Amino acid sequence: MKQAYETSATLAGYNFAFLDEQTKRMLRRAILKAVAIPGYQVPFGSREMPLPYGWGTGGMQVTAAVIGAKDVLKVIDQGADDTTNAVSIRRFFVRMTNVATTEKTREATLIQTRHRVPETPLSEGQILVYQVPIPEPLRWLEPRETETRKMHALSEYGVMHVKLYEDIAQHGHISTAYDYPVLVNGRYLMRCSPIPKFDTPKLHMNPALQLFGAGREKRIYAVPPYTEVKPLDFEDHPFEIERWPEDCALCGAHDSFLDEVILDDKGGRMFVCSDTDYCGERREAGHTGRMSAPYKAEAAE
Amino acid sequence: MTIQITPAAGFDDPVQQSQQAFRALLDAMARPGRVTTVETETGHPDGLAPALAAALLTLADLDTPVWLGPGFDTDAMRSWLRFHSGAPLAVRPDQAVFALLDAAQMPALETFSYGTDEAPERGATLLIQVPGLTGVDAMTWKGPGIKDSISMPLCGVDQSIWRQRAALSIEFPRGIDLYLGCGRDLVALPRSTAISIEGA
Repeated sequence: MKQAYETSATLAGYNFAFLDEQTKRMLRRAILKAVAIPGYQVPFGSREMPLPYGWGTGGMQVTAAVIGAKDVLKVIDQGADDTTNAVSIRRFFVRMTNVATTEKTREATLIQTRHRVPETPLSEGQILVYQVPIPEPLRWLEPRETETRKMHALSEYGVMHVKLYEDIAQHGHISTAYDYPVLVNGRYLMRCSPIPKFDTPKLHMNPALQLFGAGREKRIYAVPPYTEVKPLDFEDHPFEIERWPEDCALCGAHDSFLDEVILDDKGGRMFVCSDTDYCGERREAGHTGRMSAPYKAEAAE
Repeated sequence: MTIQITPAAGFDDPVQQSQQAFRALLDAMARPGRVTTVETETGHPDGLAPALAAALLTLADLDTPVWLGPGFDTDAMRSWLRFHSGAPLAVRPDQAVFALLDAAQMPALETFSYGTDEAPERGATLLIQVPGLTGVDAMTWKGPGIKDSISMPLCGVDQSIWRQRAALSIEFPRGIDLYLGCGRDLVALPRSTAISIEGA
């Protein structure tokens, strides 16, 4: 029985999702092993992508191995759907796969992200792909890969506790504000890519599948749904997320990650949601902040 | 004696169909114990479940030695696998990245590679054809991907094999990952899942 697929609209001369099939098989095998060993960094043969390392090549290769014609793709960069990195990666996948795209977290089946986890809770069946610059949590403490590999094998993570302790000794609190080290399923120390520590608790017991791709460092790792992800901390210095002195100036949210925007050189500033979809959805629902115009007026411009 | 001249068919549209099959394999691996259906149509040699045929066509290639277990080491199976995937056939089970096995003729799990503590991803993936994925619950599975715990039947695999698998948990991260296939349905059992057998 023949099945017909709509692939004709993608760019001529390229395979579906850019990568060749053998590369996709290699990536897919690595992804399955990553899911089977939560938090462990599986090495893979990273390919050159048509943009430089550091722009999300690892996340793109994971997305290319996973994406299908029926997916609805959302791409965010620091929470925003409309920044350069997000726009160019989204456009790349539209040209290479002709998939539907969305800015709404709820509608997406596949979300590629740089440095944020969406504020809207994810659901079962969704896949979140993180772009990872440095996958090895111990790298700045131990530069040798042979050694960090052994440390993971032996579950020898004392050095990270010492680093956090030194933070407390010097600053009075743990000063790591992003890329906070976590222990996955009680076994592997993992770097959750440079997401703010505000997002770290969202990884814990998340119903969605979370995949991490590091292109330059050639590593893929994963957190399956409903997996324990515990930030490292101390009994007397428990893990805490950051707080802001104000609510979002546009939608009034007090439960989302806020960016500070400098308005003038006289100390004027505002805080706005980093997640543009979340902020937009709230304003659409009638929420207002300190500096927002009514939503309708903005839409009518 | 019949001579097999042409191997059985594989995917009609390998690019799209292998992607669809991969998503089923990924969903299954991310949610151990949940029955996942491989919707895409695939050709397969007689006697091989379409779900496992799709898994081999999606994942096996010239980089992955495949070991054909008792019951699957046939001319039809060998020619089909070689023609569609180009995968080398492993001579010994411990060389296999993938092994295709029948639930009724399972070798001991220790004959396969568990990987090493420093490179656990080298542990084998076993594709086990089972007579059914339903039945009387006899095991409890717990671990990543399972919300609380899930009750599972033995799926036609001998209890001694399940006992070997249960004992493997202390070796983590070394271990082997299983796919149980029946018809177009699959259940995955990654090494991260802890299993306990009732009455054992």
